[in-house]
Amino acid sequence: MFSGGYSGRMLRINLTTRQCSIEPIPEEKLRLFLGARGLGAEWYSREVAPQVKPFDPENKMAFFTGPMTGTPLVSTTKFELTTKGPETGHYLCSNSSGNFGPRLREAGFDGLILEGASERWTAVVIENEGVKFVDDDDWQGLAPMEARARLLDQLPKRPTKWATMSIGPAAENQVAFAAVFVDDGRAFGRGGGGAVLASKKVKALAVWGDKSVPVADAAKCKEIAENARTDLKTSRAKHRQLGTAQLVEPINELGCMPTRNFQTSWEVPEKVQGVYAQTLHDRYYVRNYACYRCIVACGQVGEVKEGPFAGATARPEYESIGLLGPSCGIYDMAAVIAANELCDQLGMDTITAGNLVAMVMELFERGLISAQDNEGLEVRFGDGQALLEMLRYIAQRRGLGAIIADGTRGILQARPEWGKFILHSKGMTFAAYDPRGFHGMGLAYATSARGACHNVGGYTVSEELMGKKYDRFAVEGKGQLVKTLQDNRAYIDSLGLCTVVRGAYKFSTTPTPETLLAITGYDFAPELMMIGERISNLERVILVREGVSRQDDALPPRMKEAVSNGPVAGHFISDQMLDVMLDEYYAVRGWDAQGKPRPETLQKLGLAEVPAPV
Amino acid sequence: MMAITVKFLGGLRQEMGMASTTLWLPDDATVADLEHRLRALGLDLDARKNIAVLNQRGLSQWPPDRRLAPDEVVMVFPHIAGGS
Repeated sequence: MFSGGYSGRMLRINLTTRQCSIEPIPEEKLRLFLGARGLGAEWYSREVAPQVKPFDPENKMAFFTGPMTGTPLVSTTKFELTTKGPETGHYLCSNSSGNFGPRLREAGFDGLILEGASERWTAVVIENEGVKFVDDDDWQGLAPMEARARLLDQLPKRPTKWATMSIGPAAENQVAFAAVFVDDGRAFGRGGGGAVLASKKVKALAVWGDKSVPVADAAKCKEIAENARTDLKTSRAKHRQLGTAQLVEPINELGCMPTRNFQTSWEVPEKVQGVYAQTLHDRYYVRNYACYRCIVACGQVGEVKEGPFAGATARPEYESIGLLGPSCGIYDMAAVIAANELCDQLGMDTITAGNLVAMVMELFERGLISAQDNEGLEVRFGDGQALLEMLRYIAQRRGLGAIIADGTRGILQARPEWGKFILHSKGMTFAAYDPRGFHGMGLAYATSARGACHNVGGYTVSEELMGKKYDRFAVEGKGQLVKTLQDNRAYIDSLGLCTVVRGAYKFSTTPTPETLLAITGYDFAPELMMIGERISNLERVILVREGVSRQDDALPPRMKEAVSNGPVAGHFISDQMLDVMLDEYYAVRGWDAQGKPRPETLQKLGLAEVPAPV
Repeated sequence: MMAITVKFLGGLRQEMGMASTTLWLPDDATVADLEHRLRALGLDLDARKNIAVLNQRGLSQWPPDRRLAPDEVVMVFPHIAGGS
């Protein structure tokens, strides 16, 4: 069926016994689930049982690549982490760039499974088919980049660089939103994959291989790559110049910026311009950062050269700026860069870290907690130094950090009265868009397979501004919109390609065949949206097994409060409005009123038999 | 004549070399006239390159024959999605 695109093999490593095996991936599975996120969901449905807890040794981690990962095309960098995540306690899919995915394919594998747990802290080193363990109890406490450097020092030189994954102290302390860092700056940021890796006592992994990633038609791939480069030079030029930080200004102007823990969604532009992309560029920009084979290089590395945060260096994306900045009442880009850098050093997701520090700030503002509750540390909106200190407290589980480190689920258990100040769906905190300004985003957060996520849930912003039938404040029509965007995203996340460049390869809702035909020799195009729908439904089957139903497809109480100022003043999302969107969404998905896929829907997608894992 | 303010956000400010400009349009000007003038400024409003928003709603979502009101504001910014 395939003459390229896959090796059809995955490497399984049992960390308890340190046994390794190489297993085939049947072609039929590749055809049905494409790769990366799709293969991860299919694997999870068979191997991770509903009753398994995120930190149990029985929990497993999968890293799957897609057919495009590591091929000679542009920006073919992505791979997917699948596991049971501690932030939601459910299925977690997470997508990252970096060289690890491409190198894994050069080692001859489409996927890597980690199961069991090591007795000692270790690093896993994969070189082609060989696997070795580097035990070292002194790994503990190292930042992800320090662990990476320490491991690389011990590895032999090879013609190309080793690729790595590593975790930081937050993961070791089982912070529910600890990340897995890939190479020197990309990450599986959301959901707490880092803490799962730490529960297995794996501090780092490295991979290298000397194989070529197979493609069906090398000459055609070269031609497609050249066309993509030409397209991206103009179509993504502004992305290269200023990165995703450009969103700060329009999202605030549209009244959708999380501001002081979503107490409102807008601030006067004169204040917000302190965290504009232009400010980052004019005052702090050092260089661009590029992922594997990417000519867009959208990462904007910023360095603080003077003032209280001097010396801090980070690459803040829009989401990190929104949640560590305005949501914490901070409009100083230097403080945002410093907080972003600290999250990277501690190994935490900037989005959830920012959200939960903002919650602490609101609790202080309302007088519901005092410095006495937090080892003497007061954390107020607008205080950049306090933000940094609170981030350290979380990673070290000090003061209130001992509760915050457990994420939404832990907080709700320990202090249920704080629940109304946490912005989340299914335990995962909101991204940097207030859905009261784009109601479709509310449905996306509520129904996303991994909790409140603007990517997996569906990035509705553009459609709600540009689609003729999508008034951003309406609820009608949003069910179909979100379903389409989710299915589109599900197949894109399965390709091994960065979503920023998908347009250059025509991976829309009506994809063209040439790219995947050149890579795999198989015409996936007519099936891609259905593959996306199949993945979305399989993920829902998994969540239903884990106890998720309509009541979990929810938005937090704050969304029912009208925004107090700015362009969307007076707007809110009531329970009734969410119900209208959910009813429509379930109907177009072919799910019942409780959000469970109907048998005929699963039958249509070839999912009639999804055996439960033992 | 009436004044319509055009604000350039994100990378468009750099590209246009200014943060905003004022367009003078006839008193009976419509959304279609405004779109025509924006394109005349060199703004690519097609192919999902840039997004134009008039009074907090996508420009393309207004009826083309809707009459403009004095002092209305249109924002234009690049089509960019956030990372995570």
